[in-house]
Amino acid sequence: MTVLDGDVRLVLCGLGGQGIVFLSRVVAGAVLEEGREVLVAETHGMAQRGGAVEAHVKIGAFESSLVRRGSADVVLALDASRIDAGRALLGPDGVCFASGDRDVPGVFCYDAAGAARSMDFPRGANLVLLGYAAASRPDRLPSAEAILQTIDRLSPEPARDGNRRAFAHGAQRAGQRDDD
Amino acid sequence: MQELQIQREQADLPPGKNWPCAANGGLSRMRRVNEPLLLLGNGAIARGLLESGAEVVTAYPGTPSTEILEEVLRQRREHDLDVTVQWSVNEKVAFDVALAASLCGKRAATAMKQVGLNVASDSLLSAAYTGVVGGFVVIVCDDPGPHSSQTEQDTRLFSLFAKVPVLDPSSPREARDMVAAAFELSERHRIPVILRPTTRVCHARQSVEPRPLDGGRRRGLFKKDPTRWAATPRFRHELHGELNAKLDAIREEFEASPLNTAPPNSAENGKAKLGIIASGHAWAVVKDVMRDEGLTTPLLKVGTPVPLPLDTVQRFLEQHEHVLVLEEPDFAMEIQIPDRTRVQGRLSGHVPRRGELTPEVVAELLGLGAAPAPGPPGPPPRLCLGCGHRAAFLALRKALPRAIYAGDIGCYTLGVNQRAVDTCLDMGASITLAEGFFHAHRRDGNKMPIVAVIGDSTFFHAGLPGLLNCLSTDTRIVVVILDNGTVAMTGAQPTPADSGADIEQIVRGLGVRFVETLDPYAVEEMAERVKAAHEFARSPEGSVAVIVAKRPCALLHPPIENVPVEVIEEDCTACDYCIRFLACPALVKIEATDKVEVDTEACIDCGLCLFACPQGAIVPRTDGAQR
Repeated sequence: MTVLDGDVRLVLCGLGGQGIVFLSRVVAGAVLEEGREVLVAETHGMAQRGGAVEAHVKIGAFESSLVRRGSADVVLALDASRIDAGRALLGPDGVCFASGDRDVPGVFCYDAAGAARSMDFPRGANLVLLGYAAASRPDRLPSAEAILQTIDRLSPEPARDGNRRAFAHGAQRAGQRDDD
Repeated sequence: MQELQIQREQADLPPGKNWPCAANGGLSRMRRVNEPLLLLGNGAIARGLLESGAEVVTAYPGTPSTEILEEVLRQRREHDLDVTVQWSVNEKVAFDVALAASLCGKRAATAMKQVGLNVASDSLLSAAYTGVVGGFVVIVCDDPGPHSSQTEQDTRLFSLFAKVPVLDPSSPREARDMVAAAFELSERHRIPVILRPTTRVCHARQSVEPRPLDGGRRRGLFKKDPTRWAATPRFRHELHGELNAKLDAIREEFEASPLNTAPPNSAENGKAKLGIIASGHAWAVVKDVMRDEGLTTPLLKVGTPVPLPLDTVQRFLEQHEHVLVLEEPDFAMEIQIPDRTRVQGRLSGHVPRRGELTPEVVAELLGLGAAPAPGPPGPPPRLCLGCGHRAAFLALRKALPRAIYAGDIGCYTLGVNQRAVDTCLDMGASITLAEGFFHAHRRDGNKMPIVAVIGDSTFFHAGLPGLLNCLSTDTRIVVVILDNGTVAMTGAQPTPADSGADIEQIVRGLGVRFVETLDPYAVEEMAERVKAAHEFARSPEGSVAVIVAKRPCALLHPPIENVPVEVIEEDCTACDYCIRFLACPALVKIEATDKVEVDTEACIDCGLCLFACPQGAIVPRTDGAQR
């Protein structure tokens, strides 16, 4: 089975209020569970008032948390309006997952927001997309086990179950896509 | 990976002070010995403060520094530590309170953003002369970019001016380590020491191996010494000499400091072509770019940019034909180098003279070509749905549409989206600029209405002296205090109101005769009272008038109103009044017709927009739909 290995440069992008900072903490915590080094760049301040928010996650022996444009291995765009911004960071072999129901060439689009709404947990769109991406690229993201453990640790009690279900739902849908 | 041994003995003990990984109350989960903590840079700094035995920690919130004190508070709670912690009313107050603890022999620290140091600078410059007793660390967070500040000022340049040493961390881990180094340096030389992280260090998250928390106390006792602590100019002259000697000694010490790492001499076979000197996060960036590209350019890492270890730098210069200096946000190291003929940096113009040294900028400087074009910018930030400030700005526009609106620093700077903020200078300047506008117009007999708009925390921070000045100079303006009960922009820190300070009483106590407190969601009433305030101010017996628009921050207390609305399409004339003066994210333009509709998914049914349509096309929904 493929596992997370080597350096990984991951970018999470979207809008303020979509849970990007939380998502970056989940990924980073899971990376740490797996005994790897991790650095995260978060967005705080004015941009969180509905502006564009980006988190960078670098796995490996890096010194800076910033991902250079044109070098990201994985991009998760939580908002369709930020797909182009995310793709600008993508490296030649990088892969972009986006929440949205339209087809964008070269991007794995999956309506994570719609899926989260259908689960009656709209705030979980971030974890649905992470589940989808993590199951699609186990070589670039931490294992489901490590991620679920971190979700348990970081989620406030009322959101824990919803967050777990959201992640599992996304992961399952990625499996179905492969079976198609 | 580290050992997974579980220290079971600890699980049975009550939370204690000197444990590297003290039980967090109930020990919800067994923690490994020295289990690394995934900390924000500001959290790592907080951890460093508690590991170093800081007993008094103060701050005023400001991005990117805010989380330092928040993390001190959180970790104090988690480990049941006895530390005096306070959100002070402003940075000068924070500085003085912590400094005095140091004068008593205790370890103390204060944290602020770079422009906060402008407010505390009077104290810093004087304290450099008097010196300190217990270790005193001033944490000042710079914001290259800028991301969330009005300037890109360089605290290291400020430190040159103030004559105090600076440590410049490149990562959260190093920031934690430098806190300990800063306390030792401060105590050894009896001088305030500045720790200067930048946004990318403050808001980076990294695993940090915890060290034991120092719950030990240093006995606090102020020893009187008027020639030092109350020095008159004659003694100040002596103290200046003492300060110069301290700086010389510190520079000498920095020459051998492990915080600076020079590469092995590469000049054995003649001079190398290019060398790089870098400090802070710029060092981290260049290190990663070199790693990605397999470059081995000699790199001198400077952790102590002020005073610059000149011998170390000179030796490095002599080994290279050219030396690139990478530092943020300005040229504090470069300007200290006596002979800059072979130096290329921000001062010489070889490195961009503003903005962050991002990986893209650094890669281009290293001749690796330009990065791919950036993606489109995101939407501009806006006030939250249900924010009381939006209602207040709408009321202001209705009351005095021709007024000059002098704004201030906080979420409500976003009133620019509603054309109700015309200036934003610095903390407290709404009132003082408004006073200046008033006098300038009055000289010409111009009766232009003038309104100052300031938030509650900013009013406590720097608004009070300005308001007092209005009273003593017969300044006839309207001051609107937007009171949401918290420091909202930085994540809801407490204000003096939490300890009972009452804005209306304070304002009355100053001598203001027109003071009214109201809910801005009563838009028509507020508009009417603002007009009355303006009329009072300009009446023969009038004076400055104050309106307190009071409504709790919508992030903490979403509006209780429940008024679903719709736009009657045929009544909408596409006049854009609501778009221009309400700027609600839930009112959107229909591309085909240019008219406005409600984004029902975003809308929180607060009903504010009912006041924002001159045509009356926005109405309560008749289908009876309730949330």
